[in-house]
Amino acid sequence: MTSRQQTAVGRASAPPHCSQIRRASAPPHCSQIRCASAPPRILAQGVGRAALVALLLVLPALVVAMNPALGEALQFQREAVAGGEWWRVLTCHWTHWSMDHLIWDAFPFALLVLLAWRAGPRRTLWTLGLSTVLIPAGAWIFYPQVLTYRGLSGLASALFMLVALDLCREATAGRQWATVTLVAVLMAGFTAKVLFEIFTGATVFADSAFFIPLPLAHLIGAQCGALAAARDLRPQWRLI
Amino acid sequence: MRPKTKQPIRLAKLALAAVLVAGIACAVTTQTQAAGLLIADGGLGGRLEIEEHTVEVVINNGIAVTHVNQVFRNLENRQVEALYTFPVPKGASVANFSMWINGREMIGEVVEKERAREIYNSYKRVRRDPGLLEQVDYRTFEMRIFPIAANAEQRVQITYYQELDFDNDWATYVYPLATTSRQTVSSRTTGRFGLTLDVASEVPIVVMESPSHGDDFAVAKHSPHHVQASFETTGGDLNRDLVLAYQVIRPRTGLDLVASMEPGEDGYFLMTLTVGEELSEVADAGMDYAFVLDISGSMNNDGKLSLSRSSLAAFVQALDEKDRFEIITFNVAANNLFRELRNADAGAKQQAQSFLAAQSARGGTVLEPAIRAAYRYKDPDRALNVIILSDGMTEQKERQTLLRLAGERPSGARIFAIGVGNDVNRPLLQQIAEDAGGLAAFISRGDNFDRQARAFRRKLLRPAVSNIEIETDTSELYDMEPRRLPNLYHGAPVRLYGRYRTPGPVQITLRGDLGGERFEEVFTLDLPGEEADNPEIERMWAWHRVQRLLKRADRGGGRMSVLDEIVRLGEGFSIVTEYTSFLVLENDAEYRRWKIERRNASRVKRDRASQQRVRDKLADLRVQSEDIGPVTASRAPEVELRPSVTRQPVTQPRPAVSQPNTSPRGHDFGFGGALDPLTAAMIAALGALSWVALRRSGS
Repeated sequence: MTSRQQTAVGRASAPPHCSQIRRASAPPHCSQIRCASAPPRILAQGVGRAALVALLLVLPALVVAMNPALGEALQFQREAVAGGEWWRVLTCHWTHWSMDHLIWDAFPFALLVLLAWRAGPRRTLWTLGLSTVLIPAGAWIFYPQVLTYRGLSGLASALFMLVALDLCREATAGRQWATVTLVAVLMAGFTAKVLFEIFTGATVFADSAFFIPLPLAHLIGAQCGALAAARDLRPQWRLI
Repeated sequence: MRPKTKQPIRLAKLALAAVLVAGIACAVTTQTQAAGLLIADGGLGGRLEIEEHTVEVVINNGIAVTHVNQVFRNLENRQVEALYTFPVPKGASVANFSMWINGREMIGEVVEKERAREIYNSYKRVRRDPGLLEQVDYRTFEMRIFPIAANAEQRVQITYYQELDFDNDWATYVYPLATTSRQTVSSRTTGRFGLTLDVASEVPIVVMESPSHGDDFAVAKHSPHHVQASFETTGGDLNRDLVLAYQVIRPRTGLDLVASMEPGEDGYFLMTLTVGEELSEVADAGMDYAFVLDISGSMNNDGKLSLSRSSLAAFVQALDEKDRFEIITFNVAANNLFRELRNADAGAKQQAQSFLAAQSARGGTVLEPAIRAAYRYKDPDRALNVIILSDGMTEQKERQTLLRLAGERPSGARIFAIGVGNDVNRPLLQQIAEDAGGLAAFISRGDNFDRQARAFRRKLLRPAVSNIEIETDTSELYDMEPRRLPNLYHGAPVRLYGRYRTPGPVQITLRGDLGGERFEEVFTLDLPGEEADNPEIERMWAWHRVQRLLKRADRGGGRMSVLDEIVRLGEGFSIVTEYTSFLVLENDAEYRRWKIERRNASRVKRDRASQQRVRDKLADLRVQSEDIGPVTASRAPEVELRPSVTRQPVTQPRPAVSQPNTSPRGHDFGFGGALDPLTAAMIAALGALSWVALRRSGS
């Protein structure tokens, strides 16, 4: 839960004691959604808004999938980017090589947007913005053989790390050690899988006849997510 | 209101922004040229142009050696670094990079990529003359030259080797020029551009033409074994690839051998197996065709269904009355036209047209019932061709089923896959066809459907040898590439590279399936001793080996295990790969300083001597074939182009049963972020944990 959401809700309808505690060291029970007195209507609105955002973020990928020519024009293409078509750096994530590729990327991405948005809209956007640029940049710098790149999975990896670290921090604050352990295992598993793929050149489960998986995208994405989560460790007044 | 003292600061900021914008604009609008992208790299950029661009091509029995000579000019009043990105055709291997330094040609050497880059940068720092040529990806190379002095010119030469693709007896050579899709890039050459091409062929050449530039090429056929073509322009538009195609007709089926052997070293050979014209005249007793048409929802995209309907209609029209056919459509369920095989008479063809016109694309893709239905049309007395028209966009899980089905086909049935449109799962269709003894073809909107259909049917009718195996009576032959030979069919030779230890006669046993019977033929070939006229096959052998190692590593999960071998082959045979680059240094002393052996310098010397001998022979042919002046009673005898060629007839013609498993078109892989089931499971688990945490806190 981010302090930003706490602020927004605090200004609206949260009981006074919540906003006061938020400025000091907020005990877990007083964060906005955990707060037993938070009105259910606001929770539902939060979910609805997050779902809407997830849908809006996934929709362009579906539109592009329906129009192959659009995919060609928006994918990351080294030569074209070098030639000045810089927008491809931003749009390539919403292009996919096949319906399979789209489905495997879009559903987890939508779920992660849902989770991350509820945890903090600005941090979600910050994570997405950072990883949108840094993933193609990483491919450009470290993998000159990458001529073309498509896929939302890099952004999904960024959100995965953001949500996991956020959940981990909250669970630590709430002394929910089982949750902490499980989330830590997930993060470690994810990191180990990506590192294994990068260092061995093998893919663990991904296998496509359409394209070559690029694990670097997941690593850079995860780092962006971690960076965004780390922002929350700074004094809270900077985030408000 | 702001104080007035702020104004100068604002103006300074504006000026700084203007300078930055101008600098960026200057960097991105540097001179570009057709046939590659030339930019002044680093700093504020600069203006460069290619003053001269000439290409000399010699195609000796299907192997093309392309020398590209370019002169760059720096139009700036300061030193710049030139970065030139250029493509080479698919399957080409860059074999030399030379720069003229102080008026002298300095031949490059192949060095491990990272080391080459470090050495290049170390020279760049002290502003001396290095050149670097690297492979960016499988078909794009990048050349860096530093420094090019103010207003100075720099001459470079690049040489690459490639095997030409043959399809239906046509060999096609492409010189890539259309290298950028940017509208703003000028495709006009400022200087002279010229291309000359000599073709020497043991198999007689029937005709040569340029599908891309037509009559702009001057073509001279000096003899059935030598044709010359040339193209020249100054300030012309070079926005299209230069394409030249020539047709050869082999009178008899045979096995050709070309060898290369240096004293004291093991030799290299290239065997070329070609089907002759005598196998093309077969009794056409008619065949059975089951066309399987994909009408799933994905075929709505890009007009694929309309393309499929047009192609299938053309195929049906191309059928002979002796042929029988059936059309099966499928999406989530299969449907058929006749429920039997019908003779391809006018009435049946008309019914087929109406049936096709009524089809619309919807639903998912379930191919298995359609293929099983097609198998049921197998008549024990006739060959059945199952022809699938699809984009191959099936579910991941169904791919294994399809490949299993291809293996379960009835005896005497083959599966052919025709991919329609540009968004096609080529690897899947190719694999299905390959596993089922058929071939895959791909049709795009610009194709001539009738011509494609006729050519396709010709391939189906003409005999092919499948499941080819080669055995020798000795262990003197080794390291053959490829390890598994593709099917041999009319119009496309099969090439086999390898090494041999000692010269002398060797028996080659060729086995395969021909017309449903076991085919076996024994050839006796004479492996030569010292042989210096075909050094290009050494590099081609090494290049094929590198490609196989890379493919195997990519399939097996990691290139680390093959990197050392690839670097060894690259440095040893002077081949630029993704892991080796060409480096040009100022003089021999600099090479010694970095302990770089001058392997390529001696190899290039050998290559050039051999190429000169080929040119001399071609010049002799031209002199002997002069037809100007009074007609004489006798013509000069033809000159033998290759020193060691053995041709042996194969067997008499037999009816066809097997077909090629390769397509002339390859698959270009892109990269993608891929979430796999494990990651998806982790995300789901994270979602579940978040939900639990939420519920717990909510309660």
